Amino acid sequence: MRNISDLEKRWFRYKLKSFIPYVLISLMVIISTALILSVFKKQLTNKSSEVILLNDKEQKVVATKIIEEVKVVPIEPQITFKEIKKEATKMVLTPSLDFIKNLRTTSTESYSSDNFAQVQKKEIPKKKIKKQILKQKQVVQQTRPKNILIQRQETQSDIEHVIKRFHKNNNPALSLFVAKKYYKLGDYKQSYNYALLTNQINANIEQSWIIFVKSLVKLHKKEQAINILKSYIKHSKSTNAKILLDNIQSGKFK
Amino acid sequence: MNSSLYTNSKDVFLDTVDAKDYVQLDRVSTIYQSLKDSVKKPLKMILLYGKPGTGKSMFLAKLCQDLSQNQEMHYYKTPILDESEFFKSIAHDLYDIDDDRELNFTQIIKLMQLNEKKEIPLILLDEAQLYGDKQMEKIRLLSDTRKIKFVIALHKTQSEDLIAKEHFQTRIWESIELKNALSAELKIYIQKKLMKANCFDSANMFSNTSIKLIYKLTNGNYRDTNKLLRTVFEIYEWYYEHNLSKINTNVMSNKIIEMAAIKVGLIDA
Repeated sequence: MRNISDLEKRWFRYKLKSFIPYVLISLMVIISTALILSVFKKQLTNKSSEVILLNDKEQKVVATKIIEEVKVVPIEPQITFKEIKKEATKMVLTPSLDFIKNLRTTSTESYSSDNFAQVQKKEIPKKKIKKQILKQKQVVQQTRPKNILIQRQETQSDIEHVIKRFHKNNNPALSLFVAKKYYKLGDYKQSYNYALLTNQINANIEQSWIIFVKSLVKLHKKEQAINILKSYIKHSKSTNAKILLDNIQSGKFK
Repeated sequence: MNSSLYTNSKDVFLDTVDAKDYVQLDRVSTIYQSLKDSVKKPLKMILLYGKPGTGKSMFLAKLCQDLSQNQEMHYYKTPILDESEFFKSIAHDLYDIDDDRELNFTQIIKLMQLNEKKEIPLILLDEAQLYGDKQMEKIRLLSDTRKIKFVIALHKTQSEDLIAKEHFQTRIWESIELKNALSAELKIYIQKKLMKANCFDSANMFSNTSIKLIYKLTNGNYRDTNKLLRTVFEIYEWYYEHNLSKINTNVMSNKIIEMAAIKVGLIDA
């Protein structure tokens, strides 16, 4: 067999040819995902600009509407004095004998549960009840919202959603976000893990190093944290890292 | 590993029909046994069919080797297309009659009736798809006399369904189809073949991935596999002698398999 070199060339050409469809498919996938992402981003920016367009007047209108809605709700005592009295009289027996009168008082006492406690105090004047109602109204007025604040709650489900997104596209920005959130929530093990993951994807993100080291300190691994931070400072000369190192060594950061 | 091992391994896959090279595989053995059983039955014709390279010729060679001691049997490896020559060969083989004159169908029938044998002789016809329709019809008439029995091996082609042909439909009582090997069978086939020739190192070179690749290229066809592996070991032999650093002697290289496939035409590159 003398034509081995020729055969090798033919084999090389064959291999190149066989890779072409895979290269084309992967290119198609990359291009289509890029297109989809760009369209998605555009949609997002449009939505955010729409939100910004809401001016102060509109906000005020919305706020007053909400306040009016709060005003409309009537607050009334659930059980009025008259009703309680009627119910109490209905349940009282009315024989004429004295001893039975005595029995009547004991029987009403036996009904002295939450609703009937007020029945015994027949002397409570109507004015007092009105005052009480007024007081309740005042309390409601006091609790009315002066300003409407829209707050975003960083719940566990939000983090889980970001984690799902991270597992889909392996974006280090997402894992760093998760690490930071876990750190804020005080789950230092998870913040350590996600900072490590971020670092494995991209070792040049300063924040991932800092969160990683901070988590280590929080997990009572101060020495390890110092060593890692020193090696990172050697490599990157990051000022933030130096400040953090000083803080850890001086004990400011615990 | 030395160069001679590759040379020996290469020779193992020489495309020859020799009953000694028959490799026993489970499925193939069952089919072979059913063929042997069919021969013993009072059948006029037995049809052995399948795609080229599925082992029909090897089956006939093996049958001839196994049964020729107990039964009169004649194996026609290549078809004798001239009618007179065909009858002359039968006359010579069965009745030791040598005649330079032409022998026609009537004469051979007469000969057969005159020289009746205790046991019906068996004629094995390989590559029978090459016989013309007229000659095939005469073979059928010969088998009808019950003085002679035929085992016919032919290719199964897609264009014409041979079994559907009239003479086969009415006369054949037994038809056996041979198929390509499965992936697992192919591994056993290759390794058994190599081990038969004491090429143990070569046999150990084949991993499941290399077998899968060979199967993908040959579709389990025995002839294509033999051709491919012969070229594979030829390439190994060359590398061993000229550029040893380029090959791993412990594992079968997919690159070399593909190169061999390009050389034998299994890959169009």
